Amino acid sequence: MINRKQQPELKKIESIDILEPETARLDNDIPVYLFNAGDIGITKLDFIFEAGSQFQLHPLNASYTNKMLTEGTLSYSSFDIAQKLDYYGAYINNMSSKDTAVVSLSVLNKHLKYVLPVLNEIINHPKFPENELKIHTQKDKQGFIDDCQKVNEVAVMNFNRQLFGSRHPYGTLITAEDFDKQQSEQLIAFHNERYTMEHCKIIASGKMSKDIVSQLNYFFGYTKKGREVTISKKPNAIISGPQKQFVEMPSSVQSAIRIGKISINKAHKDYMKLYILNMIFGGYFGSRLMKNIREDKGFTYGIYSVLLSFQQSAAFIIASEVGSDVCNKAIDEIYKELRILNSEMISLKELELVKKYMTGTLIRNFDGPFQIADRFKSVLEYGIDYKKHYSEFLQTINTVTPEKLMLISKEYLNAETMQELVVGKR
Amino acid sequence: MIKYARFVLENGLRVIVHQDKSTPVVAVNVLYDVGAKDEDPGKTGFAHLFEHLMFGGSVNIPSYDTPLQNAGGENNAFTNNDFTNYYLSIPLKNIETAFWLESDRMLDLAFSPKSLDVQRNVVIEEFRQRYLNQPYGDFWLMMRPHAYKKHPYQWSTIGKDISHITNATMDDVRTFYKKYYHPQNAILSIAGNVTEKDVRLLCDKWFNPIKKGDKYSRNIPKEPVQRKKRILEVERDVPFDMICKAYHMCSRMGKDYYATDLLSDILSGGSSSRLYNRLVKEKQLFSELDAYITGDIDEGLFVFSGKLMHGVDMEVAENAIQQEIDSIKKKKISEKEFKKVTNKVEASVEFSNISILNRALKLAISELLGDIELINTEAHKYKSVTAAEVQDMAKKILIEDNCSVMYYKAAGMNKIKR
Repeated sequence: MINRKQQPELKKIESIDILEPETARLDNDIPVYLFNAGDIGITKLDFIFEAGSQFQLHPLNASYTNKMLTEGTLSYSSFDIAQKLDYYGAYINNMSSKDTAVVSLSVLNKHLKYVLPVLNEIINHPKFPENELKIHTQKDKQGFIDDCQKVNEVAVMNFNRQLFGSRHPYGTLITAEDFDKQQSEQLIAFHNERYTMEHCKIIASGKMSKDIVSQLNYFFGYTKKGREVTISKKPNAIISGPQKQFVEMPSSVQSAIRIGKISINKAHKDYMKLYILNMIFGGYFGSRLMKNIREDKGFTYGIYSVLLSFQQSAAFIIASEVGSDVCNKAIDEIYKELRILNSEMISLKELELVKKYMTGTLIRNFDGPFQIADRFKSVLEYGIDYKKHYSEFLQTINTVTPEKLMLISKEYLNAETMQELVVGKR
Repeated sequence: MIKYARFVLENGLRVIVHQDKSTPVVAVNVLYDVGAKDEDPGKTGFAHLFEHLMFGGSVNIPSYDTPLQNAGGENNAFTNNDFTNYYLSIPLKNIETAFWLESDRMLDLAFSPKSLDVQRNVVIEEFRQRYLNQPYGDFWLMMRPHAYKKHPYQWSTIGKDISHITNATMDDVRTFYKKYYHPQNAILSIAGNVTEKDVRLLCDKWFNPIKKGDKYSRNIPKEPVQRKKRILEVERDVPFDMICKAYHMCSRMGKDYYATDLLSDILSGGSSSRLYNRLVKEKQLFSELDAYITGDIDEGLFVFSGKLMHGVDMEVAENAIQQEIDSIKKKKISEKEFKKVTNKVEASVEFSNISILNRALKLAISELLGDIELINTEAHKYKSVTAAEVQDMAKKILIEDNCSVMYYKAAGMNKIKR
């Protein structure tokens, strides 16, 4: 008879293979990082530009510059581009964040050569036609107005403002009018300044052909430096907003809660320890927040905490949507958990569990070329040595103690220093 | 080409093994052949509530999550109208923990009344978060009973009404488990660096001893043919009007399935599609507009759903969709446009095979559909469809008498004034 009460013996995972990229430079000096691995005939190219919203002069300019790249170029109309990409089953994903803007292409290897000329047009020769811009801003504006009915979306927008303050670009609050104010000239200027070789890095991943670098060089190695104009200004200092805020949405049956504070980013020496502490507190399904507020009290479908890292700053944020009737109780429980974290040593058993879980997650996160490229991308903008970073991360997981985490908790997650936002009803 | 081995245990559990030597993790997918369509009309939302309870402890293991996390694993689950699916990924070295956990909860459950109590609340909050506290969130709650009059697809997986969840008892839970959660009603699919032999050994140890259970036969009412256009108009506190037109179509294994799916791609697949270019961009009638198939196992729906630009009349919007329907019925689809959608399907099949969890799931679903080879033949099935067949589908399905339309109108304080 097997003993079903007893968990099968667990094997310890000593090390993780961290694949290092091959590196190359195009003729114009754009660095290329290659993760040539796996056995699926797909190539993924990420073009990363230092062109996030922190560099914009007007709200939404960074986002629309990124988004409108595919909406008309020197040689192709918006429809031509869409048709070519669809014909070759290629996906272009444009994303812009606070720090960077990314143009990402995924394509079957056999179609790469047909799509690269289109990608060149998109990245180097966009025209930002006024009529196309108008169509997009007007429909997006409706989406934005819809979002303003959602407690969660309103909380995301307002909490950034509350944490980073109105003077810092990370705290920008979008309004519906900002969509109307977008102008082609602004986007052209932003593109000229930020989508240039000196602000560009390329990550290529998948099972690629040998000549991938020369193909990239042909289409992207010829561009020159951007104009040395400085339309972007130096950001102001972060001056956080009020400690507590309430945005009332009277018809809501759930309220969105945000509790958090400015924190440290990936380049900071304590980041990894804080990351582990956050995992215990609210970073996974077995976290304290989930165990208490969902699995014991049933106040919510989900609650989590997260450490958001940016180039110039960072934020620790606890987030949940809870029944409006139990909103205040849920907030009390969150503070209670924070105070426990600040005052009681984490048990070795709990720490051991999180260590094993995190090691497993690391293995999952390094499974296959696309995952690995994503890991690489996530530290690239901080000027961190990627292999060193993840080796140290694994080492920190293995060696961190409850005593060290207690110090981290007191320094970075002090319950009395948190800012709080409720959107909905309470 | 996805290679796999398939075998059946004595107790009826179907097992699929897909070896991939390149990955350090293994995906374990357990699919139970029970979905919201199997629920009693007076106790809807149960299959999904039950999915939550499956994490509340099994006969020998008080907590499912903790031992899995200790083994470096991660898991989740989902329920739809057709089936309930549980999946996890775990470092290969610890694969046996997955067998231990999954076999124990197939053997017997042992959750507490408190667990039922809490999960009822969690599901009620999920109901509120996804369906009640979002603009347009209740849309499918109303659209389903509008389009289906007999078939249980008329309710969403979350259930018809919160009271069904509130009223769920321990007895209901027991009965449900006994009826649906046994080896004969499940499919175990494993993907990772494992051989058929490895998996057979583990199955012999952990799954083979589980009792067979009683086979039940499904007896789901067929949806009668719709003979007349149905119209439903509602007003809600949202900023913009929305329209939805749903047409009955064939089942997942029906001979018209692939042609119908390609029809939705011609109309709405990607930024070069007809609806997006003509109605969103050229005429600027919609802020978003999609045409898609629900892809259900039984006879499903072909759906148009769009949000109107503010100031646009509902009638104008509906006529514009109708014009596109008329146009595809009348005019031949060009070779180039047709080649575009079939190319796109080929690429999307490749993309969907990147994730090992997804391969395990696709294998389980193919097995559920009764033809595991579908995982490899599906791309070819799409390729064999002709442009003329796609056009015929438009003529066959997209007819007025087969349509249920819903006008979801903006009203109240959030309406944007014209």
